[in-house]
Amino acid sequence: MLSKKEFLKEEKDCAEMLGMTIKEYRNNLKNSKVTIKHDKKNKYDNSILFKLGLTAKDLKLRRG
Amino acid sequence: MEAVIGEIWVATIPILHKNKNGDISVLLQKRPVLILDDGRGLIVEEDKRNYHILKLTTQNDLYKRKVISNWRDLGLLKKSYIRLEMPIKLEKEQLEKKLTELPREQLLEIYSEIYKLININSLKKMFIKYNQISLRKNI
Repeated sequence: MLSKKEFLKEEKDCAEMLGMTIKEYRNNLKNSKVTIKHDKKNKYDNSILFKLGLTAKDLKLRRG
Repeated sequence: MEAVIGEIWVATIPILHKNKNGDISVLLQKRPVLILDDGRGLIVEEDKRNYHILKLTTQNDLYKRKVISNWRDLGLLKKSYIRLEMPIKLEKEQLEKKLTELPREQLLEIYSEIYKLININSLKKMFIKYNQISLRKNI
């Protein structure tokens, strides 16, 4: 849990990482909307697993 | 576009805030995050709705951190660190846009740090203990 001081420090941190001033950052956050349509039937490309030295067998799949 | 393991995205994250009177409220932050699991079951059981992430920061103070030394090459705007802590669960809709992706070796290093962070041995012991108790009950 953050105090006001800690929150403001993190806010500055976030704004800098996004290349914004604090004012721009706050406006951006205020006007945030979900803009990306996610595909519910997303199929994973498991090539990333190969890069990490794994296969699909290493995944913990949901049971039942 | 779906976020994938190893990518760095901008995400909106709720933060608990306590004021001087001790009142608690939820505020929002927007910051870069590293995708550790995209719901396919890499570190947490498969859950296609949710992601597990670590936060990026430019501050190198309170938490255990891992510096992204090639931050400039990756297109990040400031020297950044990955906060090494228990991964945070996010819903897909909290992810806004992709910034870049972490090279394989750095990604493996982060997973190694997470492995060291979690007390795997005690979890395993409790798993075994529970199975022994269950087994005795069923005899």
